Amino acid sequence: MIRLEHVCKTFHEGTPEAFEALRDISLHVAASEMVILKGISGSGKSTLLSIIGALSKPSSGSVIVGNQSVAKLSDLHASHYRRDTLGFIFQSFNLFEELSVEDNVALPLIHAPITHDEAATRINAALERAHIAHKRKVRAALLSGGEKQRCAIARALASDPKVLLCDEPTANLDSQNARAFCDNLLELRALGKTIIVATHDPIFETLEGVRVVPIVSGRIDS
Amino acid sequence: MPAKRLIDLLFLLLYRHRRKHMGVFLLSTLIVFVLLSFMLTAQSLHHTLFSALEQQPDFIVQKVRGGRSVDTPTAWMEEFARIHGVERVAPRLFGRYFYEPNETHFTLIGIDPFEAQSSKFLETLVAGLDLKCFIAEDGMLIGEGVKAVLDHHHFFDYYVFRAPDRSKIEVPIMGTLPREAAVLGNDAVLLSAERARTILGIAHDHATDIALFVPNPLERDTVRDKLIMAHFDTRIIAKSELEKLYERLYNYKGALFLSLFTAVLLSFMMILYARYQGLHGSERREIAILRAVGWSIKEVLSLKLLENALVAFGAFALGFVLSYMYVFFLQAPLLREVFMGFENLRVHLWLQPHLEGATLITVALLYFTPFMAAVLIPVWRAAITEPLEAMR
Repeated sequence: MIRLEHVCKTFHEGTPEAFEALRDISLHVAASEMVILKGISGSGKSTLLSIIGALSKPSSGSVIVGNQSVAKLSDLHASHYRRDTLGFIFQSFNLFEELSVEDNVALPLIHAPITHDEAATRINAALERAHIAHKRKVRAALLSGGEKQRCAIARALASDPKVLLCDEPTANLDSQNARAFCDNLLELRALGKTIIVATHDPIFETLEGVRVVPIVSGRIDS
Repeated sequence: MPAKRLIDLLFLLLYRHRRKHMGVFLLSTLIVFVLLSFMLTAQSLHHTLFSALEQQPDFIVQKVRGGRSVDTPTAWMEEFARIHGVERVAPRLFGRYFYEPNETHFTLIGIDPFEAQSSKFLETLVAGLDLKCFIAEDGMLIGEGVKAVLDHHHFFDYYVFRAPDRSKIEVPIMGTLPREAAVLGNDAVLLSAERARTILGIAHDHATDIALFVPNPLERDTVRDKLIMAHFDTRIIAKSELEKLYERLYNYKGALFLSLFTAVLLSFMMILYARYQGLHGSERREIAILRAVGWSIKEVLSLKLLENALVAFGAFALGFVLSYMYVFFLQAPLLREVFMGFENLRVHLWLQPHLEGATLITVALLYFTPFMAAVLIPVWRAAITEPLEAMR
């Protein structure tokens, strides 16, 4: 499903402040697999996620998602790729607090070439899968931390993506909500989603059937 | 997807950034108000002045003696009427009458009621007035400026002029010229030709000057040459020269204002740019979220363009309404004086609503282009930075 070959990323390349964030990363992730990128802050795991998500371009190496090379996509193609293939879940939820849960979930679909009915079906399905349908009309600002994260999951699922990328998703959750989040991810994996989580939360290592990939100083620690 | 969600998002962004938008909105409204007030005032005056000029004769011929203008013999009229291309010739009787108590001048104009029917200039001045009564009473019609001066000295119903032979001539006031005629007749006193001759001391075989109407513009140069050939002791004033004079005066003030306005506009752009340059964290995060969920840079820019266009358009609309009210309902206090000034009696010119589409388009371009550039460049810069950085 996802194939990274010799990926390197250097920030401020060619300047005295040049910094190698990723060094020769090669990683294969199968469809419906759940991979945990484990590492401390600054190890490069978030940079790796942003490269897989086409939010950032690698300095060298190749990134293949499905049959698509995403390393050098134009902005338009990269945005279509993110909209149709990926769902992002972030540490700080990144919701529009004044919008309702439903409107937040609809954000990725605003420019999607689909009908109103199709969009409504997808939004309903995403809300159901994230167990937040009962709060659909509530403003995001009024949700608890766990509910906000479920709203973020629903938004990530709105376009029915094949891949979910999670960046420190439990950092702002208590242990009960973190456990519920993990259960939710397992359900999604069972539905065929490929999931990559960048985290240093040990709770993910306890999950059944996940592969943990340690990242240290921009390299995969074998 | 229906546009409703996009509209919801749009209004949410407007609400979230209301403080910033309010500051920009007020500043923009002020800029548009000032610029449009100037343009509307200038345009209204330009329109009024040039409409008045259109009614003037194509040539005015004055007799000159020793370099100064003197009364012109009416015998010349017959000669001028024979020149090919001249449609009509008419004597004009007018003169400046010194009003000592105020140390000012009235312009006395003698009118022939029959000529008034055929002169566009006089038609404008006396529009809506009862000429029959005016003729019967042998009174006078006075401009608003004259009326204010006479009222001040308690001459409510009549005024007593002094003729050159030291006789006193009491002339009843029959009415005031309409407000719309202020540009032509603010300091004017309209009397019968006979009375004007007596007060101004103009002989029966003379006039102040002679007006010539030459409808074909191609023939005007030839007519002018023939006038010079006919009498060397003349001064010929062409309408085209008056137009150039007005235009120069008008453009000089316009250019002065535009120079000042350019400086203000540059400051406005810098303020806007500085304001949007420092996009605060929540705004950068919004852009980053939209990019992460699959919006392209173009789609993000479109949304921000729409958000700011609403603010810009709202400010423009409000600025337009306020300036329209200021100029045409309140008669542009302060600003009008910048344009008008006054040489003799203070002119209370009534600004008549007049608006050209080209003016609105010019102001809109002068305003929207820098506005959108100042807003979109920082947003574009935020949109091309890596979203994950902004979302942390």
